Amino acid sequence: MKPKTEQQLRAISRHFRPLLQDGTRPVEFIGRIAAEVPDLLRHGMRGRDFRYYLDLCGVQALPIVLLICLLMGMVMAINGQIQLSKFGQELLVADAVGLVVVKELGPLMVALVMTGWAGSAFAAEIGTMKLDEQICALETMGIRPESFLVFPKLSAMLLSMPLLTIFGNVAGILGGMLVGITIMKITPVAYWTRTLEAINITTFVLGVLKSFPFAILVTFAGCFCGFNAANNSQGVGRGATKAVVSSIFLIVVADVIITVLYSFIGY
Amino acid sequence: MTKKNKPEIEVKDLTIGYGKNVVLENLNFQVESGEIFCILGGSGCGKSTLLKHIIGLYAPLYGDILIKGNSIVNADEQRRRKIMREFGVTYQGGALFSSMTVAENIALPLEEYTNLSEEEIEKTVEEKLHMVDLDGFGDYMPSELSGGMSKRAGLARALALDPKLLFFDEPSAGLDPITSAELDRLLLRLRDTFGATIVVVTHELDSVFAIANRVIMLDKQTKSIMAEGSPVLLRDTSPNEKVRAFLNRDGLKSDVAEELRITEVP
Ligand SMILES: Nc1ncnc2c1ncn2[C@@H]1O[C@H](COP(=O)(O)OP(=O)(O)O)[C@@H](O)[C@H]1O
Ligand SMILES: [Mg+2]
Repeated sequence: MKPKTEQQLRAISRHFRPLLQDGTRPVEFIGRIAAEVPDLLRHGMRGRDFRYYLDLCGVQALPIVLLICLLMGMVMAINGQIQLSKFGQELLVADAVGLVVVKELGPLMVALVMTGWAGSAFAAEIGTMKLDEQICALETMGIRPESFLVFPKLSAMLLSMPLLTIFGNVAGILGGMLVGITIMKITPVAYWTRTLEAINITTFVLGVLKSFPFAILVTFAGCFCGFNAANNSQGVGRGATKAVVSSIFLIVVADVIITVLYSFIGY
Repeated sequence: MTKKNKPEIEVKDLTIGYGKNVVLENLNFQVESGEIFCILGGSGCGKSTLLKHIIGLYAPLYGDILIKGNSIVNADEQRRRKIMREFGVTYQGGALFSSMTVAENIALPLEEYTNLSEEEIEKTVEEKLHMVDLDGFGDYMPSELSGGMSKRAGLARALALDPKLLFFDEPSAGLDPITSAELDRLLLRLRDTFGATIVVVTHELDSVFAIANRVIMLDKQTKSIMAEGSPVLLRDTSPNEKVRAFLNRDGLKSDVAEELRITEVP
């Protein structure tokens, strides 16, 4: 009797052990990078790499971010108009669109776009570097691949995501305004004043602040999945997929936590 | 061989592999200072794996590896990196950093570890490119180079810091005979003028006889060293027929034939 239960328990624990190990690896990864921060502050990083990623994650991503946020703003305004016109409160569309974009949709949409745009690229890039021994080459040069490859990406993301979020917010509000002007015949000035009344600077800043943790999550998920991709072409492909899926999941979880925290301080 | 000074590399009771899959076991050999040491063996027998363990990229399953008397296996991370920095290593595919030009690749170790000015770095880069016969290719991206050129560029990068200990993984595979012969001459020059110790994984018998002071031959079946010594001596006097066949002119052919026989007969 007893040995059998023990055996079963062992069998179960065998199945969970890999899961546990999987759980510790990202922590270890973050630890290794964090341990390098003092060194980074002393030596700086390669400017060329930083500029490359700033261009990739900032400049090149801007058009698609603007377009998506504009369209989301329009969609929300149309939906809002349908509901609010029942109560004859069409002007409230400006409030609704403004608040939702600034508090939630702007930061979230930018993070999701950047997951597909940058996170998957990071994973594929690092996975390929591992595949053709570039990572080995870095190690034998005495350079830590983790920090060497992650820091330029991370700093470029930390700089560009908040800026993209600000642009995205404005585009979203403009999308709402476009619907307001054309369909609801609200004057631009009236719509704009309404929007400014609805959102204050604190709301705006708190929304933009969310993009910092999002940037960290997208970058870490992308780089981690690249470093842990299997050593073949399919492995690199799966690594990119994993990067996208896990970073979407992490972003949503982080968003929930942040929203709860913000609600404590009344926003 | 007289033992005047300490061996450059000592491998003791080394067992290596991936996870539970043992590739080679119980290896013992030494690489003397200032020699060219070749690792031979059929493909898939673990030559690259052995090389990557010696340079400290992977931890062995058992045993120890000493580089100039210092264990690279038991060293902490900081120390291991310091030992690694003394090496020059090239990989089978060149392993150039694909986001940098050839010149930037070669300049990277110089930027990281020396205080040379920009002009001095530029000069060193050109010098190294000249050494591997790639003058004028500094501004090319790695993707614009042929396989053989990438390998030579990788070699130039490995030489950037003038290391005294060099590891090459199949440097001449995929090179034309002329370039390959030039590469042999370069290795000899590195040994004779700079006193470098060189460990080479190779398939090219011509180059083995031209450059190697000593070789070890790995055997896939027994997962161990089949023979060790001077290549000429082994070819002529080895008691092991497989070793003589491998080192003879048609050695590689018979090796392939043997592999085919093994797959045919169950
Ligand atoms: N990263 C790896 N993970 C697991 N097994 C590997 C890995 N690399 C090589 N192997 C296996 O180890 C053995 C030796 O490979 P390798 O050292 O590349 O051979 P060689 O360089 O002599 O051609 C092969 O059977 C190969 O399948
Ligand atoms: Mg190999």
